[in-house]
Order: sequence, then structure tokens, then C-alpha cells
Amino acid sequence: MKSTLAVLLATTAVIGALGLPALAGMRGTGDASGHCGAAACAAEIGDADQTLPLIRVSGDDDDDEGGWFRKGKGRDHDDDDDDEDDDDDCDDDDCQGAKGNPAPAGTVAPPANGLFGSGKPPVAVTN
Amino acid sequence: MKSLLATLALTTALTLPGVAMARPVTLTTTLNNYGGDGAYLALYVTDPSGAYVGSLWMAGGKSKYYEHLSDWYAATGGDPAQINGITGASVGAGRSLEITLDLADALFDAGYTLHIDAAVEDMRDSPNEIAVPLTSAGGSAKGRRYIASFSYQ
Repeated sequence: MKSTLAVLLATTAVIGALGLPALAGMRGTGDASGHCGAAACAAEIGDADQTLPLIRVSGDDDDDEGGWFRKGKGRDHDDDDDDEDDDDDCDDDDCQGAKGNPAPAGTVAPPANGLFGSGKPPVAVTN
Repeated sequence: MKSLLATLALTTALTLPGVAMARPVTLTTTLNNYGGDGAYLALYVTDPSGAYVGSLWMAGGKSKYYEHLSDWYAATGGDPAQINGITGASVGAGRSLEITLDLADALFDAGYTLHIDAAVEDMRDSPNEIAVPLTSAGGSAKGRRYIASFSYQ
């Protein structure tokens, strides 16, 4: 009988120690003034828990600002294209491709491909 | 006097075959006003079986754009050695490119074809825009996209 009473007292003490603070927190969660909406709220537990300030931690209305789909088709896409352009963006005259630029006319003899009967280099004029 | 005549005969004999083996030809390519940057043009010759023989001229000096001259590039792999010494500037819209060269006699009336591939930055490629057989009578053709006309004589 004594042991039963001892166990009952111990469980009551444990429940009291753990449960009362939890109950106090639950009273502070939700809407003390009715303005938390769908956002999650966190309560600062203080001495005067009847006036717990409600702090908006985050909102989940990301879709209002365009969202993933729009973002994917917008600025990020342009950035990707810019990177591609940078890979081969080389406008200097001495810039060469993977195999190098050919020698301009007049600097070396034309190739010996059998087309130029006399071996004389062609002359080009743009009008 | 005899030695002078002998020298003259010898030089004539050496010179004539060279003259007879080549024929001066003028190639004239006139571009449309297509409203873009300068066109890259590759002029090259194929044999009767359609195999690439060699290049006559490349208008446009940056090799990174040669892949857009797709037929020429497929035949040469973009090898700059094919066009060393026969490369000039790209040709602006509405302008004419006139090339004067000595073509080997063996190319005429023998089934050889002169081709031109054309390409313009940010516009569609135009491989084999011109294909005309090489004949001793000369020839001409109209282009499809960038080349208004081509002729040789």
C-alpha cells in the first residue's frame, strides 16, 4: 500500500513538472490577438505569459512572387546562356579557334591542292 | 647567235606548258541585302564523284565559325591548312566579292563542280548555296538565301 502511494505521488510529480509548462506554452500558441493566419508562430515564454508576443517566423506564400517555374524561365535561364556565350566569346583579331585561324591571303603560298594551275595566289576584291 | 636562239627555244618550251595548264578565271559573287553581319563564304571544288578536291577561297578569317559552313566543314574537318593563303575578309550584305585566279585546265569540262557554302552570324546556315559545273564556257547561278548571283568566266 505504501509503495502504491509512493508510485502515485511520483507520477503525479513528474506529470506536474512536465505537463504544466507545456500547457502554459499551448495557451500562448495560436492567436492571442487573432493575427497569425497561416504562418507559424513562436512564443517567447516569460513571466507574464498572458501577454506573450507573437513573432512571425516565416510565411509559405512563395507562389505570390513567381515561384520556381517562372524563375526557371526568367533570370536564371539568361544567366545560363551568358555562361555559354562566355565560353567562346573571343573577338580579338589574334584569337584562334581550336585549330587556329588560317593564314591570310598574301602571307603564305596557297595550298598545293592542284586547283591553282600556275601556283599564283588568287586576288580578291570586295566592292 | 645560235646560243641565243637555243636559250629562247628552251625558255619557250619550259614556259608554254605552264601557261597552257592554267586558265585565268574571275569569280564574282554578289550578296543579297539580307540585313545581317558579313557573310562567311567557302568556295571549293568537288570531283565528278562528288568528293572534295580543294578550296579556292575562304571569306572570313575566324576558324571558330567555320563549322557553320557545314558542307565544307564536313569535307575538311575545318582544317586551316586547306585555306592557308587563300583567306580574306567576310563579305557584307549587298556587296560583291571578285576573285581572280589561275585555275588548272584539267578542271574544265571534266565533271568538276564549284560550290559555295554561306553562313551569317545569328542567321541560318546555307550549305551548298551555289553549285555550278566548271566548263570552259563559264557559268552562272542564283543563290537561295544570302547570295543573289554568282558567275565565273
